[in-house]
Amino acid sequence: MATTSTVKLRSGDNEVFEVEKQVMIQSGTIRNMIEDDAADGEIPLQISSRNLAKVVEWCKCMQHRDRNNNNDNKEEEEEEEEWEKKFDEEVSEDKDLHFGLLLAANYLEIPALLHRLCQLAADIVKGKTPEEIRRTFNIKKDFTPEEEEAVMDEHGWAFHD
Amino acid sequence: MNRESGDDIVIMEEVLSSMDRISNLPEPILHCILSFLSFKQVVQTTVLSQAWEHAWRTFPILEFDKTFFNQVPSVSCNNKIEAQLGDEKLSRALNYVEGTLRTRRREMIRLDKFTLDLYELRVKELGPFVDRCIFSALESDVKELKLALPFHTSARVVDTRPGMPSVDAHNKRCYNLPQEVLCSKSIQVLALSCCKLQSLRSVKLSSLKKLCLTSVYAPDLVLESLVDGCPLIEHLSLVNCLGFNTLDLSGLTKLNEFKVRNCLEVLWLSIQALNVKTVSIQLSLPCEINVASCKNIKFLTLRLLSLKDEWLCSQIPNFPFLENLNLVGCDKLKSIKISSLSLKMLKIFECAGLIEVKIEAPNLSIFRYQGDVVSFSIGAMTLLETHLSFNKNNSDIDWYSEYIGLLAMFHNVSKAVNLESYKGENADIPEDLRQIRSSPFYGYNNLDFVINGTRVQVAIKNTIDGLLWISPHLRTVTIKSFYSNWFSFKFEFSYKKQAVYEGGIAQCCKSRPISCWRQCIEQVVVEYTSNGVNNIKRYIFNGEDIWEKIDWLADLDTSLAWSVEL
Repeated sequence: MATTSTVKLRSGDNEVFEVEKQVMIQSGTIRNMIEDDAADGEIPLQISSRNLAKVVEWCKCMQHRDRNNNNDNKEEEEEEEEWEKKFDEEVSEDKDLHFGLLLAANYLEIPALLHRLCQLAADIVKGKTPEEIRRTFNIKKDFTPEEEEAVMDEHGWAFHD
Repeated sequence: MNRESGDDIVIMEEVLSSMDRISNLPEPILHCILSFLSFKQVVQTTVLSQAWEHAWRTFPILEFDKTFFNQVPSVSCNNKIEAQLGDEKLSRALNYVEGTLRTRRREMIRLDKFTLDLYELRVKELGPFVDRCIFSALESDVKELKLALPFHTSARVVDTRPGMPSVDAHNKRCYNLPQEVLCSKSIQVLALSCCKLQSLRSVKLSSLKKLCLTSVYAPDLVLESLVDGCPLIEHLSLVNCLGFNTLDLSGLTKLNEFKVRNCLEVLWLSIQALNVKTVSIQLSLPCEINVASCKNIKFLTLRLLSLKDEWLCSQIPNFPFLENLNLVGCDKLKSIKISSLSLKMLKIFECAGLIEVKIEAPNLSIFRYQGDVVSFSIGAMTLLETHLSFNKNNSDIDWYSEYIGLLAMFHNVSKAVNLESYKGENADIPEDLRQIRSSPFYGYNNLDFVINGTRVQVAIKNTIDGLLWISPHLRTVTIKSFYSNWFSFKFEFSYKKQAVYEGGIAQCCKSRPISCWRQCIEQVVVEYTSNGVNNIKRYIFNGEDIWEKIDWLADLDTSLAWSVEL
C-alpha cells in the first residue's frame, strides 16, 4: 500500500530527510523496506545527519546521471563530473566523513557508493610503506616483537624488491 | 611558539591518534579496499596490525604472478651453492602458495580469484604442485582461475615467425589440465596458458562466462565438448592454440565477443551466435569461414586471412549493425567493395594485392588506409576523420600525381585528413608538380602528419614546406612520431590579411591559385615536445626571414635533442 512517492529518513541525531523513493531505491536496505510496505513512517537510521545528507546528495546525483545517460547534454555531464570530483576530494581529505560514509553505505547497502569509497581509501594507501600507512590512519601496532618478526618472516617476499 | 598551546596541540593529536577507524571497518569493506591494491601491497598490510593480518587470512583474491615468482632466480645456475639456494627459494615460494590456499580453506573462504603464473619459471616437474593448487582452489569454489604453466616444459616453438610461439602437440611433458577444472560449477572466468586439454570426459562449466586459451593444445573432440559445455559463455579467445582443425561455435546464445588468432591448424571456422557483437579472426592457413548468421556483429576484424573478393563482398550485407570493420594484411583481396548503411569506422591496412576500393557507406565517419596508391571510389559521405598512409614505392612523378589526385578526392569527402608517411616523403611533392597542379586540400585549419618509420632522418623544413603546399593557409601543423623516441612539433601560423588574394603575388606563386606560404606568413610559433625532453620548448618567429629561421631551428635541434634517430 505505497501511498507517497517519498520516504522519510531520520538520522541518529533526529534530523528528518524527505527523499524521493526513486532516489533511495539505490539503497538495498531502503528498497527492501519500500517493497515490504514498511517505509511509510519515518525510517530511523543510526547515521549522523551530516553523513546522511551526503549519502542522499550522492544518491540524487547518481540517479540524475543514470536518468540522463542517454542524453548528450555536455554541460550537465561536465557539471556531474565536477560534482564527483569535488565529492572525491572532500571525502579524501576528511577521514571522519570518509569512514562515516563507508559504514553508512555498507549499512544502507549501496554497492556503487561503497565501491567508490573503498577505491578512494585504496588510493590513499597505494604506494605507502606500512609505517606510512600506520601514521596516516592511526593504526596501532599490536604485535609483540616476536609476532611481528614471524609475520615479516612468513611474508618476506613482499618486503623485498 | 607558545609552549603551552603547542602542548595542547600535541594532546589533541594524541586523542585523535587513538582513533583507528580503518582497522575497525567490517572485514568485507577492508577486503574491498584491499582489492584495489597490488597483491604485493596487500600482503605488506599483514604487518600493520592483528586486524589486518586477519583480514589477509580471509582475503579471497590470490594472485601469484610474475611479481611473486621474481623471488625465484630465473636462470639455472652452474654454481652448486647458487643452484641450491635457488632450489630453496623455489620450494619456499611454492610452500607459501599452498599455505595461503590452505588457510583460505580452513577459514571456509570462497575464492574470488586465483592466479598462478609460472610462465617464466625455468623449473621442471611442477605438475603435482599445480594439481594440488588447482584442487585446493576448486574446493574453495574459485570464480576466476588463471593458470600459466612454464613455457619451456609445456610448449615448443613450432612456428618460426617472431612472437608467434605455439604448443607442440607431441610434447609429452606438456602439463595436462585436470578434468575437474572443466567440470567446475563455480568458475566464471578461466584463462589457461601453455597446457593441454586431453580428457575424453564431457565438459560442464555451467557458470563460465569468459574463456581465454593461449598456447593450449586441445584436440577437436575436446574443443567441441568445451563449446557444448559452456552455455553461458560471453567471451571466448583462442590464441596460438593447436590440436583442432575445425572450430564450430554454434548454440552459444550469450556469446558477445570472440577472438581467434594464430591457431595454425584451423581449416574450418563457423560461428553461429546470434548475439555476438565483436569478432576478430586472424588465421594464416587458407580457411573456410562462416560467420554469416551473426546478424548482430558490430565490430569485425579480419586479419592475415586469405579472403577472396567475392566472399567479403557477399558477407558485408549480412551484418546490418556492423559499425567497425578492420581489414588487415588480407593479401588475396584485389577489389574491396563495401556497401553498408551502418558502418561508422573502416580500416584497410596493408592488403598487398589490392587494386581498387569501392565504398558506399553514407554513415561512415572515420576511415583509415595504409597501403599502396590504388583506385578509390567513394560514395556520398562526410567523413569526420580520414587517416591516409600511402606507401611510396618509387620516386616516380606519376606516383605523386596519382597521390595528389587521391588526396584531393578524400578532401572532398572529409572534414579533416591526417597524413602518415615513412620518413616524410609523402609531404615532399616535387616542385614541377607544384607548379602545374593545384593544392589538393583547401580550407583546412589543422593537419596532423605522422612519421611512422623507425630510424629515419626527417627534414622538418621540407616537410612543413610540402604540407603548406598540400594544404595552404593552415593554422596549425603537427608533425609527430609515436615510436620508441616519440616527438611532436606543433607549428602555429598567423598570416597577413588578404595579401594572398589581392595583388602583391610573388613571382614564384603566379601560376598557383593562392600564393605560397612564404609570401604571406606573419608569425610562426613552434612547440616541440619529446620523450627525451621534460618541458615543452617554444620558439616564436616573426619578420621577413621566417623561412631562414625555421631552417635554423631545424639545424639547432639536430645538434641538440632531435637528431631524429627514431
